[in-house]
Amino acid sequence: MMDPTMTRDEHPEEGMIHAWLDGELDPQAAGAMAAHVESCASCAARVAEARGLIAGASRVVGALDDAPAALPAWGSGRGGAEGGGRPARRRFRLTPTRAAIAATVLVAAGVTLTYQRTGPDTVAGTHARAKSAASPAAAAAAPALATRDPLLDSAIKRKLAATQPPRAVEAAAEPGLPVAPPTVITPDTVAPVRVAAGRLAVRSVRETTSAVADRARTSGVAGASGAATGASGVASVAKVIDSAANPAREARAARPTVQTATSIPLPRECYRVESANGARALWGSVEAPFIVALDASGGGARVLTADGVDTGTGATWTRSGADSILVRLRRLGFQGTLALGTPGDVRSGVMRSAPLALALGEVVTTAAGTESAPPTMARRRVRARVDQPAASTSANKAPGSPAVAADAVNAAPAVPIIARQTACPSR
Amino acid sequence: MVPPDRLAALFAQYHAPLVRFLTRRLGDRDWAEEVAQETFVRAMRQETITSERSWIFAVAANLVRDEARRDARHRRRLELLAEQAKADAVVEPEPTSMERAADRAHARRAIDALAERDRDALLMKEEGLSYEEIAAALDLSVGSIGTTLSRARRRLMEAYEALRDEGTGAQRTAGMMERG
Repeated sequence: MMDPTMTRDEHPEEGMIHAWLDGELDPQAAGAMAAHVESCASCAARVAEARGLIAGASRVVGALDDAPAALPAWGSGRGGAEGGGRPARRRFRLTPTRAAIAATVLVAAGVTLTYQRTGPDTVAGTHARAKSAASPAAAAAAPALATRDPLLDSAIKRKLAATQPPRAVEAAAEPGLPVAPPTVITPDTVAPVRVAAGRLAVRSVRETTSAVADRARTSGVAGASGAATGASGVASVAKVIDSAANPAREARAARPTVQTATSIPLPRECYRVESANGARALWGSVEAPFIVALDASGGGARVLTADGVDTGTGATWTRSGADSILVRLRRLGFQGTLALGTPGDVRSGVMRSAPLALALGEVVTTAAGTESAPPTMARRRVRARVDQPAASTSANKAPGSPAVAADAVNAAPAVPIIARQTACPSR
Repeated sequence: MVPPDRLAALFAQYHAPLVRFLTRRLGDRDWAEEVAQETFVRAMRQETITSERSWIFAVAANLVRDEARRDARHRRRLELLAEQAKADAVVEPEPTSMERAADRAHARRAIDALAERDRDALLMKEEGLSYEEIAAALDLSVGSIGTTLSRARRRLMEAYEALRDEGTGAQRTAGMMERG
């Protein structure tokens, strides 16, 4: 590249000194240059000056990058050192602008896939084009090299035309969004009746349980005509009206619920319960066989004799899904359950009951007297106390609590029963 | 056409130095980004590229020359930027910032004072291009690059020193006028 035949007596040109300092001389020429500079004071001064120029020019060029805010702080490693030093590469940092440009480049790569392929290009080719473009005639013939490239634009247009044909805009045949059905508001003719029935029902709840039960018994099987016989009958009518007006709510209400014995029995589902092994069996105070009449509309039940006479024993019942039925005895002094199995005309089940013995207990409290005086009985109070069954002597269970009652029932012997569905007695 | 993976490699390797070269060359970062983008778009169209770095810098330098010839808007923009830089230097309260801004303005004017070929050669050398690559990019002989660079460096420093002396003299004069 440089003159390798330079002797020690020839003073190198300034360009060669720069090339030497830039590390661009081949080893032979570089060695000759070094030997000459060592022996030539003037050339050594020129080399020193050239070093200053290289460093100074690098610093001035670097000052162009010294932008306060808008420009990133470019790396400052530069300046060709003697012996082949190259400007240090700056780190490539990813910035939003660069990312956007990269994305643009990739998109353009996709566009140019459809662009006609050109032949190999070289640096000389770029010069040739630049020179041809510099002449006026060629400039008129060839589009100018500018940031907006007509070839690229036309390629983009062709690409868009191929991939995105023009679309005709027309009204949709059907609305894009589903249309809700028109809201039909019908006058609620049963609302006043329901309000009145609700008021009467609330009033009936305020009455004692026994009074309601007696009234229900005296009014007989309530139907629509029973509305006039009492508050409970009105409530039943309201329920019928409500179920007719709102079948969905009625369906929800058909789920297992527990209702008190105050519910007025509607058409019943009755089972004749008898001991499965023929042994004597009692459920509470009622001896099998007996009839359990389940309210079809609620969770109330009554226990009747085999002849259909009310024993005065109430019960509640729940249905577990569509299968078993659990009847809970509700009678003063007794706790019991009656479980009926698989549905059908004949159900097998288990019956338990246990008496809840009531006993009188004393609670003695003493007054806070003086130390000298003996404690005196200040008050003596008698309260009813539920004897704790032997099976539920757990210390952490309060006597009389539901847990205790449940334990008492569970501790009672299980009597296998057979329940046959039967026609409900007329009364 | 250059394969996409090769193009991505080219972009990763040369985008930053190319933008830096163009920013120094044009004095406008946004403009430099545009020209760099156009350069890579053109690179995509090539079947093959020999001597990639010199090709990219050559295309970029050609784009700058062609566009600078045709679009005077950027020149006016450069002038506005130079004026803005001066204004910023005046209103900047910190002396160090003032000095940096003045230094930058002097460097810009000194670079602009160079001949186009000398300026391109010098800026390409600062970006690490070898003499052979610079020669290929500027369509010069390799043996002339040393001379070109030595001339560019000397003229750059002379212009820069002159501008700095001029600025110092102007400041001195202004200070004397203020005191007087």
